Amino acid sequence: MKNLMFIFLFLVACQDIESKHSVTNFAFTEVESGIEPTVCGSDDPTQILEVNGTGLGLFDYDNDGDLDLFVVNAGSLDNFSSGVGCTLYENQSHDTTIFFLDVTEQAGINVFRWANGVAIGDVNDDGFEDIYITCFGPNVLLINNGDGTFEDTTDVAGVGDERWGTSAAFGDLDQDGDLDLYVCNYLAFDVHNPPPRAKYKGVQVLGGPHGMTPEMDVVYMNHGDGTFQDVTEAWQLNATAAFSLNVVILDVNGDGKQDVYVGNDSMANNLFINKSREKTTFEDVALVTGASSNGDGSMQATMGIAVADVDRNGTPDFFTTNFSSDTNTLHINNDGYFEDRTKLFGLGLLSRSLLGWSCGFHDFDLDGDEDLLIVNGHVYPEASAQSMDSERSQPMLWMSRVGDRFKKVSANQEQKTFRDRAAVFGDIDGDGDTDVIVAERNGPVRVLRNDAIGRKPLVIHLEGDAVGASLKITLDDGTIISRWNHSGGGFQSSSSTNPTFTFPEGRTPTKLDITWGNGDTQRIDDVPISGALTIVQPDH
Amino acid sequence: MIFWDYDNSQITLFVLKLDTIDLSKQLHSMYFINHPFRTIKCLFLAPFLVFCACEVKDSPRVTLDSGLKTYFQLIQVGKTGSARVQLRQLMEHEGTRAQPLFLMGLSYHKEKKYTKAVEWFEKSTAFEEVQERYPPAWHFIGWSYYYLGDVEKSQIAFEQFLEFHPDESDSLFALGLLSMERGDLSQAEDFYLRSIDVQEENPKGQAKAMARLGDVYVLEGSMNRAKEMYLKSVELDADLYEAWFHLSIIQNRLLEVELGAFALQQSKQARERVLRSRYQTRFPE
Repeated sequence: MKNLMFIFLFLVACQDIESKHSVTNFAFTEVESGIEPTVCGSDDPTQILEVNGTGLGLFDYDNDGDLDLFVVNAGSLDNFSSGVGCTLYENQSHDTTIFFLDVTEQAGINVFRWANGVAIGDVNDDGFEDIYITCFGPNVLLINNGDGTFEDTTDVAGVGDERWGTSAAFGDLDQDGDLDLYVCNYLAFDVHNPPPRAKYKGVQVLGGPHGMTPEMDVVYMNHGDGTFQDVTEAWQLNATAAFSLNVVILDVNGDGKQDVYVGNDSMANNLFINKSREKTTFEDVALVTGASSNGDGSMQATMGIAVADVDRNGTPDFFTTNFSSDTNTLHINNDGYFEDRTKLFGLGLLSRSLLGWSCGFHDFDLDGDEDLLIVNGHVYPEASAQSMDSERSQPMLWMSRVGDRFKKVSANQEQKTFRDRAAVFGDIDGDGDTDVIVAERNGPVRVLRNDAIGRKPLVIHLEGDAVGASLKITLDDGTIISRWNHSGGGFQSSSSTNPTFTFPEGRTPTKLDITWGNGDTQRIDDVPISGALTIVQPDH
Repeated sequence: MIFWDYDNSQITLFVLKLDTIDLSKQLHSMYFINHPFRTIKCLFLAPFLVFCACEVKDSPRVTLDSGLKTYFQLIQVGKTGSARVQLRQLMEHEGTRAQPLFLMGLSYHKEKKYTKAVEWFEKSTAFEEVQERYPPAWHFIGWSYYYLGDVEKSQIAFEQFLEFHPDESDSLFALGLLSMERGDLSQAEDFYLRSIDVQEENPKGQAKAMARLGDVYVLEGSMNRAKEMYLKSVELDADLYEAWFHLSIIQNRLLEVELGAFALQQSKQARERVLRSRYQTRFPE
């Protein structure tokens, strides 16, 4: 009997150890930040135009070493230019106090229209990051003058696509040293003639996208002189028109060239592999490699895309967020084929009641592996557990990497629900860890300060063709840790931040291999274990 | 036996034939044998199960009353609202019983409204007297919680049902899926094998389990075994589009490109065939 009691106590103890391990050091605090709520139509959306919400851009616009914030805003359905317009906030945080100051007017930013998303990139290679805003209507390119002001060069640049733009991403697709631009377009929509209401799970809801006409995406080649050219067809990036919601640009197959992964709403995703030799061309391999859908071949409603080497084989894997009554999907890249390992990593069923948007892999708890955050919220105001098995307001899903699985943790944010859409990730308060800013649709913007106490990270600042760069750090035991400084992925959002590494206990880095965005390679043999490391691309 | 198409929630056949609990089957089922912790638990539970076996003489009935067939048929053809109205009237007249409560749950399950479904299913298993409960509800509680994303509650419900019906193929299949959710490939393989084993006369059910077994082999890195399993699966059920899709990816990986293209085409055609004959509730509806 004593033995049995011992076994019982041992089993209880094991369970206790596991649960404590999974929540250790994973803590965020919401702080008052001075950021105004987002504007996107009415609180209870009646048209599909309103449901996606608006994006966030996190970048250092004034090169003062901290991350500033661009908040995209739309208007009301009867007056697109109503509301506060797109807003630029300067980071004025000091010590542990996070504070953002509205500098929109001083910066000369005057974007009052139905804006949706934002992509950040230095398109003219002057060392200052520029802003591309996707809109329902002409998109906008704001060039950073380097003196705290921006100039609208959309017409000169020729990038004012007039369709419904959602997400966009920059990348050096033709390897000529400047940033080209991929813009996702959603569908053809007439605000004065919206689709009739439809039924979802027997409930009358706003209509679309089913039955509506999907739009083609558009790809612009950067001439390097302030002008761009539509090369969608020329580069064979003209896949079948789809309800495109998100795009990420990075080197997927490790050949030094930038590839493009596009997430579509209830249609097959695209994986455009860069096949360029003398001429820039791409081939969509999503269907034959398994990247187009979940593992069963079912098309999903891809909203967010996160990239990480989840299985630690040196290749980038894709995590996508999807609609409620479906699961999010983890595509593991195995020799260029994508295995759906959502279940195996513990990321499947727990997302069925949630409708996911932005997501990101970061080492939130500073323990040496990348965790995952997903923000959620339903599109239908009618949503409830009783009617749709999914509430309108939903919790964030914090997933801590524990061994070979992800485990749900509370991160001090338990019991709270939101109507989230956008999230950006970066070190806002300068303490080395990854903080988070989340935006609700037509609601508050929350700044979540990371209060983790753990290993000091190594933060790498890249000077050169940084966008799309791949970084591999080899540890003293031969382990390789990979990061991709990719553009895009955040739903209608962009985080232009520095690649960050935290190393496992007792391990030290021995070398860093970089493949820059234009394909150039570089090796650094003297890699510190923590702190800041600036690397300048040779001959840039 | 229950045949339940878990992917599409289609009731294809619903026949229950079970009168008694076979305790020996419970104790020697592969499920208990292949799970060390449950083996221990089983040993702890043995005296309790023996006690329960004494109670089995008055075990709950699992065949659906013939008088409820009309309501079941209404649900089957999608007239779920009518079924509920009539079931409520029935319960007002005859009092609340487990089987009508179960059918109320089933009507919501058919509509893929699992939060509501599980409320009614749980009522039909909540009677104080064991013989008044309706055990198949546990099976559907299992699927409801599965679709609601609650792995633990889903597993408990399926296990509960297997205590009444240890060789029920769909619950075994579901436990295979849940094992994969927990990252336990070995246990998933055991459940799928057992599910295949117990439904020799149901090729479609076997095909479904074989396709999932193929998934296990892919995750274990055994591509040829996976291919073999997918091939067997589509041979048994040519409409199983997900098996064709898996097969196409495997064949591409094995550089059998033409076969991969053929399988992909078959997957598309099978999907069209199956979805054409079924109301769709995927987004967008």
